[in-house]
Amino acid sequence: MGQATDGDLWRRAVDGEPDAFGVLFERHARAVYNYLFRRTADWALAEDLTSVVFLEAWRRRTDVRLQRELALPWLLGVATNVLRNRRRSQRRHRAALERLPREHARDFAEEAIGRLDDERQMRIVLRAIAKLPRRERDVLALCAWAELSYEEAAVALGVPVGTVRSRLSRARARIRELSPAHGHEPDCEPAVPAKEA
Amino acid sequence: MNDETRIPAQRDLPPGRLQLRKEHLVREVPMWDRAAQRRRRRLALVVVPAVFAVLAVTGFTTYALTREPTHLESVGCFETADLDGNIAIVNADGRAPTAICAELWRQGDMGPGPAPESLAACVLETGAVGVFPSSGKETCEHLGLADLPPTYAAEAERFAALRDAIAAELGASYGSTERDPKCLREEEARAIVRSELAARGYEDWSIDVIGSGFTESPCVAVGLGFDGERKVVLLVPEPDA
Repeated sequence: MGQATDGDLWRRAVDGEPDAFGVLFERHARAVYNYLFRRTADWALAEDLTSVVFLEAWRRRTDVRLQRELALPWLLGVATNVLRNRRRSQRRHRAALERLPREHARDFAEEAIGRLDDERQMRIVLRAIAKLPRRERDVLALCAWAELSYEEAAVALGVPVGTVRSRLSRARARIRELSPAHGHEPDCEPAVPAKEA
Repeated sequence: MNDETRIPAQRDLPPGRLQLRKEHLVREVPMWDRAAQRRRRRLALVVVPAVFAVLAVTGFTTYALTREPTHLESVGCFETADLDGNIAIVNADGRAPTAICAELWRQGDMGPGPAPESLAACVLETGAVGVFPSSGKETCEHLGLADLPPTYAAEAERFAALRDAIAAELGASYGSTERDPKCLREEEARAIVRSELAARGYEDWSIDVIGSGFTESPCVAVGLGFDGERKVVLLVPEPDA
């Protein structure tokens, strides 16, 4: 099962195989988790929302045909919607989340301090881009932070590739205005590699 | 983006959490499907062809001009002014039956056609309430049915209050109201219903349990139904809810 493509696993999930969906979770949870952290600046929330994203993806699994057999762009699209409607999504899956065993994570002190630093740092970044319109923030997060290609970001957001390009271009211009001392410009990855964790 | 706005590096989920959450997900998703199937089954009961509907009155031709409605728990919205037409059976909620059906028409649940200009509420032979597209005052009479009597509004409101009280006490989702299910034993559920029936003047109603779900677990979530014809409150234990 470890060698199966996302598309194979997805089709088995559509046929009602939870184990196939579990493999997709193993494969993409880290990317979704980090994307959610970078949108929320909260590791614990990102972890809970990762579960919500996959529960929501299961609920909607029959609505989607994967582009190029890749599940991650679509999962990050679900994650973007979950963030947009966070309360509704969490309410929908609240009962499921409450059944999650509440085992305390055994973080080492160094790890815990590192995570706190991350959260502080990410809050600064989010404050810096807070003035961008939400749609531009979405494109920025998918392209620059989650390293999707233009095509993959278009799949995630359900918009044409040209729209991704123009939104990113506007975001880039605004960042330049807001923070003239920027180091590098956000961009989408040019290639379309299979990004599997 | 400069040093101040650098993005923190990616991290793994905390130790053990990936596996824990994967196992949780694999456990949860079949439950979601079962719950969705239950929701679909409930929906399927709402819109049914007349031949399968509990409200079907095929062949009814005699006049019943003074009949009192006995089914206060549901309303049948007819697609056409025809007793053999398709019916959407929906829960009564204390509003006027014509208002309930008008909402279905507005939402497009009665089909793609335009909503009728007016609706007429009649009492079917079974004692249920049927609402028909109306072209004039005599719609019920033309169908051989009684008009809905003015006393219905107060009775429907009283019944809706009973239903809501029982549903709230049982933690049962009913109609469009979603509630957090409670875990109840059969005796507890029966006692709750008996108490509400007695308190609200429905002592002539009895209680039936559908299925053997109460025996499958020490306590279970309970679904709720009403059969106005037999005056029975139906308890539907749902062990996997």
